[in-house]
Amino acid sequence: MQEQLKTSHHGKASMAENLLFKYRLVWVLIFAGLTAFLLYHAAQVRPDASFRKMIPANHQFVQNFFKYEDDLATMGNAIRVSVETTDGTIFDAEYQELLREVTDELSFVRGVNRSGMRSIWTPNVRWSEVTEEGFVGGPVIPDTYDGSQESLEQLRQNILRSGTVGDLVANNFRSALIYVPLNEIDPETGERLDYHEFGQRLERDIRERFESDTINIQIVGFAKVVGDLIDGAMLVGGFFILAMFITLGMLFLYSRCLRSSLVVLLCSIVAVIWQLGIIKLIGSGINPYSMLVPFLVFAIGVSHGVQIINAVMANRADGEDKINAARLAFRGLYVAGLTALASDAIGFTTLMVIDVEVIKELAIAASIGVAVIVLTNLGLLPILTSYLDVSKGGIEYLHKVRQKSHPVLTLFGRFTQPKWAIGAVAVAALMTVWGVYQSQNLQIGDLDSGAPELRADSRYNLDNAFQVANYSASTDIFVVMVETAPGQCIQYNNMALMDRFQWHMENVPGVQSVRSIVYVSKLGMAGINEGNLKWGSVNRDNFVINASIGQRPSGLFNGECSMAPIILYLNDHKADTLNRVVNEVRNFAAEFPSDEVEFLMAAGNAGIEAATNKVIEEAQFRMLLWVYGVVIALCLITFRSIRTVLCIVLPLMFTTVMSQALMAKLGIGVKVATLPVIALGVGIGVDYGIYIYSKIREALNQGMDLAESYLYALSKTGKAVGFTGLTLAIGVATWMWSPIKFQADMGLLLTFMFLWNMLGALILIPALARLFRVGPKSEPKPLGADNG
Amino acid sequence: MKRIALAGLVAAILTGPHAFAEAEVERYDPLFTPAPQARLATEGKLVGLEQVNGDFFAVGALGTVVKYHGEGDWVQKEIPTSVLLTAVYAVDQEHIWAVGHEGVILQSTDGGESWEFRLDGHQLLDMEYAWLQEREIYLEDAIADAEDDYEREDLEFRLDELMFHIGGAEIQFEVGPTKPFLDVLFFNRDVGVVIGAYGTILRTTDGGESWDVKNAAIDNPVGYHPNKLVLAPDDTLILVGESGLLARSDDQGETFDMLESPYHGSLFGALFDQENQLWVYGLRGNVFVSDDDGESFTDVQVNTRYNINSGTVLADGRVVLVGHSGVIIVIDPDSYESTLYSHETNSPLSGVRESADNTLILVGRAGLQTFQLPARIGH
Repeated sequence: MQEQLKTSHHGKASMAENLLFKYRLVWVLIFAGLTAFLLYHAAQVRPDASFRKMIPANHQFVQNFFKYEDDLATMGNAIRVSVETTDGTIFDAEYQELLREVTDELSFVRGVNRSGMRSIWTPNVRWSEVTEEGFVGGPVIPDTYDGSQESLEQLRQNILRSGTVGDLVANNFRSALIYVPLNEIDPETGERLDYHEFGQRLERDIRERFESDTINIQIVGFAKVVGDLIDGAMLVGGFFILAMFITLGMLFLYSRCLRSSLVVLLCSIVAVIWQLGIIKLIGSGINPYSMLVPFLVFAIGVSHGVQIINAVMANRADGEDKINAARLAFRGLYVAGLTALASDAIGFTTLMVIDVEVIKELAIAASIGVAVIVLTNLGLLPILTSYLDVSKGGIEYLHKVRQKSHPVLTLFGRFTQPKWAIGAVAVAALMTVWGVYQSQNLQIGDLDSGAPELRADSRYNLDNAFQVANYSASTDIFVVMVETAPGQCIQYNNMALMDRFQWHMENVPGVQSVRSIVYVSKLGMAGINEGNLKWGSVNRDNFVINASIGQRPSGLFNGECSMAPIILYLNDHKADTLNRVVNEVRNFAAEFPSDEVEFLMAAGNAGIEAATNKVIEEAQFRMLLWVYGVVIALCLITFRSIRTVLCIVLPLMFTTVMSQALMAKLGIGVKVATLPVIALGVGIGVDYGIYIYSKIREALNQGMDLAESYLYALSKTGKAVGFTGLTLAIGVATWMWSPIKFQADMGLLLTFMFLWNMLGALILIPALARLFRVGPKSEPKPLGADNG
Repeated sequence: MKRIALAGLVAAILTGPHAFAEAEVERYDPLFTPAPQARLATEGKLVGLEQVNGDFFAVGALGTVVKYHGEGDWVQKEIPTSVLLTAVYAVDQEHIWAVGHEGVILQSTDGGESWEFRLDGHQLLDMEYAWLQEREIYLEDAIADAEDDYEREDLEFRLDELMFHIGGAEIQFEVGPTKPFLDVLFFNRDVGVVIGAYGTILRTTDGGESWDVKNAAIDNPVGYHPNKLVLAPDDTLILVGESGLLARSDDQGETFDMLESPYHGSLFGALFDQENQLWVYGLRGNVFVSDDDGESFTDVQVNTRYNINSGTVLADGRVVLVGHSGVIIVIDPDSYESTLYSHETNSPLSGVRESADNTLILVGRAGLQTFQLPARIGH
């Protein structure tokens, strides 16, 4: 019992400690067994990028979309492949031959709905003309086509009168496009389309095979985005190895003890294995968002592991044997560790207020991960070190370091002095004001054009920009589903109302053009009346309406004629534009209430984005309330002092404000990817405060004043806190190189928050404590509050 | 109680049986819904164009009537209907007429500031049905009085045709007013003619208070669409239409004489130039000119196969025709030589007027546009 006297502030052995250390071998075996079992399951985890999971499934817009998903599918899921020549125009025999080959090749790719394909080389693309005798027409490629100059000239004529310029032929005649609708479910085998395989096949059999010095191929469409996302996600998996090696290097630099560095790494990897294994077992998956979790679990694991190793080494340096060193380390840290990890875990669960499946998966995965760390790094790690000990080199290094004043101490120790404290708080206050001002510009939603999931300069988005520039179609599509009684979708009054609605929406700033069955019917009316514009109106006679839509493209109303989509092509998918569109749809519906027609929002990428934005906007404030509520409650329970809570929480709020200002500055919107980052930043950021403050209080309880207490805390955990901040930052910083834009955004923001939180804790906690007059002079020592 | 019941009865009689039918389900009816005011009123589809005292009136989709002052300055007028308006005609600076789908005839008596219904499609259905029944009695009498078998056979054939139309008209009551008017022309404030789909011709001599159905005034048993009315300086009225329909009236539309058509395809328009030559034009770039009021025509080559929809005469005497795909054809009235231009929108044009200095005001599917022509060489 001698050691207990010497280190009285460690207190008595708890039940948990006894349970753990009395049966050390049993625990090691249990851990080993569980790890093997969970590794088996973790190995089967595959990233998936399910569209359904990335959208707020319970939002009314999305519910409406799900209701008609099958009806809209024929219209929605397609890719557009454009073949560009950089040498001359498309009226070239060689080019046309290539275009024919690409069209043929595409028709063989699995998942392609061959009969729906459209290109100037498919027989369903025709020209037509009204003559004195009626309609005449034919396929755009002349029946007599032989590549000669005459037949190319004939082709040019046919293209001009086919109305495909801007649709299948670029406005500048330097590229042509192949429209390729996809079958989500293979009609023969019933299998779902494998987007990853599909994307790879496009790259291999189309892009690589046909691209040359003078030929470029652009591929655009949802299926390609998903394929690229999965590719990107797999690449990011590789970053994990990188993060691991960097962390190992840092661990060694920090401890100069390879043995304990490896043990910490091992325990953290075990935590990741457990987390992945459990996720697989509970039937949850890993998606491009929740892929962040293994990185976080690893980094959090390492940071908590470092605290343990730090303490073990200090105890060994103080002359304890290896078992006692481990026991005392456990005893000294498990309450702070548990509090910190509990706040992490509960902080993550507050993400559940965001009603988007991928974020819920992320929340569950992260909470599981943190719970697992409690076992691996607070449980397994001390046991392992009690066997393996730390190296002599490490202990010697610690002795050496102890002799000279550590720069962390001199750098941050001064912030308990009134002058420095006031200065630091004043600077932070000014920055907060600036931050609040900047964050007024914070936008909801995605701000970049193209596929916001991918980087602006990604191949996909360059392809997309090319097609947007050269063809007359926007890629930001907002679909309003007009619902009627079955059989009534093209009834005259309903069509007339849709006509008026369409014009109403065309007048909304940000709406480029509108397409629907009404548009087709009006064109058709003019068409069957010799092209006379004076006839281009919805006709009151339903037989005439039927005649006018004889040649309609598919997907403009559903099989039972109870729903007709109205497709709005938008300039962009900025939140302002989407809000305006949503409001105008509602205004119109309110102005023309109808018993028979309902304007249901919304499908299309922009429609879904509008729903996502709404969910994010509503969740944003609630999530902050929850995460701060939880953190404040936990700190109150642990420290039972409002002033302490303020000291810990104010720096976190400072970081939250600054990161929002950063987002506004960098043009990163609040979206599915970045909203969780705030919660993660707060949840993990509070760890620093808890560790530092628990040591300050420990010293205060021993009668030291604030300055001494802070120096004590710094000497005990300051280095570890600094190290933790760097480890966490490095773990997520690798994400900044992800080809997936939102992962890069997450990486950037988390790195910023981890570092900023660390600095905030080291500088602002002592400064605020000084300003709040924490210390023996103003605060009576709480009696009996003993367990550090 | 009695008074209320009586009031209800009166209301029911005044508004007719429709009032009860409408009360059951609320349905949107563009015919009687005021036109939407639109930010982009000049960018929607506009098909009719008229010049009034230096301003331009353009009419088109969803009851849009725009008064254009030039230089992008315009104002949209309040219109009591939302149907597609097809044509606009100014008698003088105050009296302007517009016609459109579903039997709509509108009039403004204050220079286009305010507009009101002068006829709607329900009234048209009633009028046409009454006229068909009159024709039935007339033809039956004529058959009874026929002088020879040949005449009787001809009249019986006409009666068969008529009975077919009466059957169709009865169905039309169920369907509602579907017929678009396609053009309007007034000789003065009182006397005017409106033409529409399937051979419809209406005439008024009291400024639109009452209308006579004049469908039988031209020989058009199949019911081809008359498309355009045009007035010669001497008050001669020319009517052109589908399948080469071509007729002339010397008595302000009371009676018509059929002219021999230079073309069996559809004619969409006609105009008289400064030298009193009659130009007719239509499907697939077909243009013909007559210097004897339509008795004989010369085929004019204009080097386009696009439909030609409308035309005007420039102050310098040149004839301008516009059509599909943004084609603008300028023709020398003496040599018949033509120059082809294309508007950048490449979209169909259906109306043209000159504002000043060879500047064209155009309307079409892409709305109101302008186009600057080079000046006439040698003028």
